[in-house]
Amino acid sequence: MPTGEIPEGFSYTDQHEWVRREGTRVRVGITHHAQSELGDIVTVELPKVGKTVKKGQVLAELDSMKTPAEVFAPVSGVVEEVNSDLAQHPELVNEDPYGSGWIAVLTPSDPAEMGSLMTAEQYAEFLRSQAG
Amino acid sequence: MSAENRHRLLTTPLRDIHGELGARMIEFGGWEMPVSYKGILAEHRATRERAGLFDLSHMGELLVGGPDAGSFLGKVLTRDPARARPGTGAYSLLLNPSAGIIDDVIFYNVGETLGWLTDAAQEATYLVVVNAANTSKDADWFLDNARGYDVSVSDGSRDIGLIAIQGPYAQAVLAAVFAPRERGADPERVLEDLPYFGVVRGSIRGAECLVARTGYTGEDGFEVFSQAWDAPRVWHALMDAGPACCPGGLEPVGLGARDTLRLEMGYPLYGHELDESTNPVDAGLMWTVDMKGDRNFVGRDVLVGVLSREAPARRELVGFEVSDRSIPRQGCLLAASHEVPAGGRPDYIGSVTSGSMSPTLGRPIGMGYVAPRFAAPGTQVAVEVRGHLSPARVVRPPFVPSRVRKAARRTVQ
Repeated sequence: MPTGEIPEGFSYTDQHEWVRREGTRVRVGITHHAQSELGDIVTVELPKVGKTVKKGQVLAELDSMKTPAEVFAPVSGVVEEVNSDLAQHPELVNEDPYGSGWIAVLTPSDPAEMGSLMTAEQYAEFLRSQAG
Repeated sequence: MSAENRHRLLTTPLRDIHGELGARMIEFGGWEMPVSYKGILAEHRATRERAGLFDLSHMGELLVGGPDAGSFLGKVLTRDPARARPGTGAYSLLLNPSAGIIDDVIFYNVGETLGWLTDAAQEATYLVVVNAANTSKDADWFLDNARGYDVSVSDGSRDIGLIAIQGPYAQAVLAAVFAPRERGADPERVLEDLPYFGVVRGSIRGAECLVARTGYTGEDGFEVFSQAWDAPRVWHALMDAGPACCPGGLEPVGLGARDTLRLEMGYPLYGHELDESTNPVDAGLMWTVDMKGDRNFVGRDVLVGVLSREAPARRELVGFEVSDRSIPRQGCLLAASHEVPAGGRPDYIGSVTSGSMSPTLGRPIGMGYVAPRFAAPGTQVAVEVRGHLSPARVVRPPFVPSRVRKAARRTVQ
């Protein structure tokens, strides 16, 4: 199980989603930075299995104690699985954002889109530039 | 937030302590304040189960004194200050001439001068605590209305620190560090005997302070006023005493949990339930208004007109619980029903003023203004969150039982 705030082997978006390749599919969640900024997450509204999403569209909706927030699809594709544990345990997104706090599994429709995601190093640099 | 903006914000004497605790800081009413430390849920629960410690030094304090202090305050407060005996205070509103709410405040008739707290208050015997964002508005309002009265009015906000300790163990922790001014007095007994809204003088680790039994959480608790530069000493004294008096010690609590705690009680927050377009009738706050006698407080005439009007009131403030997990926020619309006829529009009946997940109930709750015919507790309504109508039920707050110290029964006089 990957540990650390920006694990290697994942890809990242500038909206603070992570993507992990799993064969022909990708698993998606939000980063440690995102859950830390949001604070305690109390609801997660997951997409329906079978839904087609375009890169950049809203994939899931969260509420933290402080604010509503949106998770955007990092790549276009079809939703294959959603993390139904999050209905009863939304706090998993805070506690284990790269593991048991995953949000959805997609089958990507455009392999080229993976190439435009950031590496761990690039995401770390992106966060540093945002903090300025 | 750019570094430049950060320097324009006011900071409290506890700013460095918040930094050391790893607090997440936000801008609030022109101040840089902690919104959370460990997290809103943890801080909220700690306050309900043990005790929480709050930096409230951003709040404003107006000091009033002189021969006409009572009659001056009688003009600007909805509550009759003559009913607050020395050593006690009360929650009150300030109204504008249209009976709109300028601010909600707590005033204390301290009964002795407050020059020890701030040099500007040599004559002052009344302390009026106001919302941080309204401090200069309220100070100007007081000064404008003070003309013709033999009264001194000063704004001591920057000189005064304020720390709240709230929760079932609040008294135990405070008693461990509080030295009452009365020589030989037992701090446990002094605090046990302190009535709700009572104030008492003493010191904490050598820092002179005024302790009030008040709060904004629904738990028993106290608010401790000291000179601003003494606030860190008071904070550390309470934190250090925590572990011996309270399992798990005292929890620092930020503005995020302060908001969820007050919401569970149905307490209004200025800028949400209250503003200058809202009158005490709409807001359900007529209990703070003393209409008896001929005290002509600002806004009284218009209020009498509102009360005597035979036409129904325009709107009423209610609490509500949401049936699913949709979290209402300020501005969300309230509707008569979650069901909408095909091709129709929702029947909107009002809007949300505050909303959140209730940590204690595990359900979303909120407050809002609705057309009065929907205001009865138990009424089924709906709230529109993210374009979707969720069923909700009108509830009379508090959502969670209040545990504030009940007022002592008054003996017949």
